[in-house]
Amino acid sequence: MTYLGTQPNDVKKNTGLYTPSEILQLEKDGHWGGSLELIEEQTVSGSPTTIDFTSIKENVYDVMFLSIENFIHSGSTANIGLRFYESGVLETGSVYKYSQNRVTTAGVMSEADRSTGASYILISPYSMNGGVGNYNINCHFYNFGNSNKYSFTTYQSVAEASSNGTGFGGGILPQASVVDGIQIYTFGRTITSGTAKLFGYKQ
Amino acid sequence: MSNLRLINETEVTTGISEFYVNNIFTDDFDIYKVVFNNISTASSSSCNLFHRFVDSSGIAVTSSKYTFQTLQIRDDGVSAQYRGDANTSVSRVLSDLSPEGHSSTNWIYNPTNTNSYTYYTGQSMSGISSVLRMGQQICVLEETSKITGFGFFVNGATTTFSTGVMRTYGLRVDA
Repeated sequence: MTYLGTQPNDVKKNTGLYTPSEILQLEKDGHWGGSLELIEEQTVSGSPTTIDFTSIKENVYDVMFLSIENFIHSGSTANIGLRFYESGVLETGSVYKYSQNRVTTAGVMSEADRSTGASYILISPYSMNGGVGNYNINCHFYNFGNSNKYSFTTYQSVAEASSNGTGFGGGILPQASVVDGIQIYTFGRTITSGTAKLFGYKQ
Repeated sequence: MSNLRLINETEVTTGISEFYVNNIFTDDFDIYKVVFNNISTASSSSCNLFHRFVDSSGIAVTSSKYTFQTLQIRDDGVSAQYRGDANTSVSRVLSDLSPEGHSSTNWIYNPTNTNSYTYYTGQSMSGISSVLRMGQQICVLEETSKITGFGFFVNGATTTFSTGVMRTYGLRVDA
């Protein structure tokens, strides 16, 4: 079996510990460290209407993970969506495809949201009025640095408000291109608080 | 340092219709994350990929012990469910010719614990014939045998794999 660094041979079950010699070899091979590597963390400040990641290291990681934590927006009802940058240019055309299922604590389960041509990928389970609750969403991204592949995302979400709900779904930018940026936006609403962390899976 | 430990990275061999990686699950970890990316097949037609586990002898488990459900949702609104109580594999995710294809992130629980069944949850994305197919999967392999590998095969060997990679990570849990 090939292994990046060493055979699975942890000192203690589940601890993922390495011996000093293994650490030295992993450092030498450039593989030392955990396998979920933080690319960038942004905490909302001021009154942005979007959060943009424009240095995502798509040439380093072919699979990435985005954690959107405790997002709250102001103003009237809004959702949260994703848009992608291609070679530094934000794609705003009606080219994205997405579909999601949602479940609410009110007992509703439905394939509620989908589109064969939208200007965003919807990732929130439902829209909320500003200031009434928060969104927590995690997303996986695939193939962003591969100019020969479409760019994929899958996601799971939870919205906490007077009626709570969760959702899961996926989206595609069906264009064989390099995606080098990610935008989180709330359809023009001001984001008042929250944190977003982008990670890469070590290869 | 994050708590994921990269254990194995294996590229898909072009031209094969079954892809399994063995000796990735050990007693070192109870929980594993398995990521498939850039999976594509040689045919422009949609093909069904079925998952199977591999036992400690290096043989894919084909007994009728897979209990699973797969929910597939699409951007055109035609969703589908696949489920079974005594199947010989986990049906199904989809792939086809690049630039479409398949990617997924999966969790595997207790594969080598001979006092527990092996559990599997996953989320996948496939772009097939210009249609988005997002999959949400759950599975229990109702065997207590030691499971040491994972992978999938093209149902009916109707086509072969062209590209892809499978990465396996162990989840460190602090003592």
